[in-house]
Amino acid sequence: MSTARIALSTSAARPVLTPLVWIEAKRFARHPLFLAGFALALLASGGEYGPVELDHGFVPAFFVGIFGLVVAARLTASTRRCEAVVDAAPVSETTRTAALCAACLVPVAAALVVVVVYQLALALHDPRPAYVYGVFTTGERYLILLILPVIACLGAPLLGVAVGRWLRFPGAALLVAVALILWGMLAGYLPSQGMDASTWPARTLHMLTPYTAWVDSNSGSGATWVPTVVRSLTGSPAWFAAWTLALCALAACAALLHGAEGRVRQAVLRASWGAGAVALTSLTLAVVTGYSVPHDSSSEGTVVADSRTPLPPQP
Amino acid sequence: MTTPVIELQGVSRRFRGATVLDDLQLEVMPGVVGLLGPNGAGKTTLLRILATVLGTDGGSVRILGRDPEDAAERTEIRRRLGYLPQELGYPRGFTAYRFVDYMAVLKEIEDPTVRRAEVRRVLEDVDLADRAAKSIRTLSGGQRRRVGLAQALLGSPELLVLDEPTTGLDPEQRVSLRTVLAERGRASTVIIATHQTEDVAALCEHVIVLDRGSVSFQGTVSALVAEAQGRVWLADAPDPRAQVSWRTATGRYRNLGVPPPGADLVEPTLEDAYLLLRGAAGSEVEREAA
Repeated sequence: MSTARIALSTSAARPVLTPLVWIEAKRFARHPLFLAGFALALLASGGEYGPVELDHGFVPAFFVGIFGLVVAARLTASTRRCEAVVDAAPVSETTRTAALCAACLVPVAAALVVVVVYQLALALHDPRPAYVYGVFTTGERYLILLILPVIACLGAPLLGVAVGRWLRFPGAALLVAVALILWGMLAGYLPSQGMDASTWPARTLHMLTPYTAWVDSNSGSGATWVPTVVRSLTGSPAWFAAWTLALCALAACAALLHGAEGRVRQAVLRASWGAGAVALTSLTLAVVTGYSVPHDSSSEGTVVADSRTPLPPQP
Repeated sequence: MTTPVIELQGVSRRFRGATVLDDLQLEVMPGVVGLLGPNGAGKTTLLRILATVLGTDGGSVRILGRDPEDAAERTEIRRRLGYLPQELGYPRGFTAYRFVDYMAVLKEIEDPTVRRAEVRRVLEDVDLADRAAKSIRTLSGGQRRRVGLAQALLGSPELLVLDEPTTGLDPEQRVSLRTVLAERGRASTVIIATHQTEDVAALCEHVIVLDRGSVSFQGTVSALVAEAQGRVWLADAPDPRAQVSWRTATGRYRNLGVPPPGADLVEPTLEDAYLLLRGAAGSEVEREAA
């Protein structure tokens, strides 16, 4: 048996981060719940279950994002079983948390695949009339279709890492996931259906969520179904993207804060304040600079809508 | 003069109002050191302090010449430390190899080639090379214990802190482990907390006996055994005056303490010496034996 001492790193934690990220990313990608969510997202993106375009983002946000939250929390909490040896290792908890945060790029990649596959499928088989995109510009459409769902699939797993670090009771991740879903549903649709969407409280509530709806449409289903009326909701997609990115940063900071000491703790706290300021500014701008009233779009044109008037049923 | 690897002065630690370690004074020199003591003596608490995962309520601690209270020095200690806790769980879904590899990354063994070789080496040291690809969940209790040992051996640490390492191991595995630890003891300091006095007798040069949070003996194993010299007797009947007595496999009674009538004086073992040292606590053993 050799007793030769292995040359250990003397150069802090940065070089160790890369192999740790790989390990955590592989654990994330192989997790059965993540794989199930990814498969369901792909399944729900096509065929007769395909939603209205601008609503499609809910599919990856739920199946990849919310499932990812639970997966991230479980991966984070899994090392509690061996925390005595993990805590006695030279790599700090902050570095381990940073690796877990970086592994949240796995659900981001999965979300990108889902939204791109959906767009390709639509472009090839089912081109939609322009009015289904509401009053949004081309840039805003790309934001809503491609970027916002991907940000949600980053933020929710990052929140999962924070949950795994801070909440030690069983079922904590599920509880937070349910709360997040309820919050998203309430803020996303209540302002357009239960309130006058053009008022400040409704517009603020519509943006005060990590994921929101941008359109509402008359109901229908089936492979060939196309909505006849699409209602564009209030708010600025661009500033909403900035707000949700700031929420991602806040979730990462919350996770990193657990176990952080000394200068690292100070740096994380400073980053948290910065992210908080960006979040508040972006939220304010998302409310005040975006569309202030809902618009109904159909093949006959676009009109300012009274949000409390129900959309006409499918003829 | 050799510098102590571990120096504890006036260390105390309380849990929920109960004093677990009380004004503990300790110096540990290089070599293999056994830590004996009854349940609740504070062995695990002491080892957790030495593994830098638990702080103290008072007193000073120096490990490998460094202060674990200082974050940078604590990291330096951890770079030179291998630790096996009394109870070690494993994350779900890990194989033995993947877990030890994960720990190797946490021990800053960066180079993938070196890391792979090191992981294989420690798994071989604990006779788990052929089980490396198995999920830890499918391994037996003894095999899981050996996975824990393997991670502690990573990087050939200067200080190895092992809390009951032989629990769950069969006799062959225990002998094999003793060989590994004896080898490590040549270049490192190995501290083993155990209830198995035969492991201490076979492995350790020095022994520390803890009792109710304080050191009741510290010295060489032979010095502790010498304290029992002339106090261990084999007799045909248990002696009520004996500190401890129990029936042996031959049908005769081993009496510790005063000589029973017609008894034969025998060479003491480390277990005899430990039981005599424990004194009053030994009478519990006598009652159980009765």
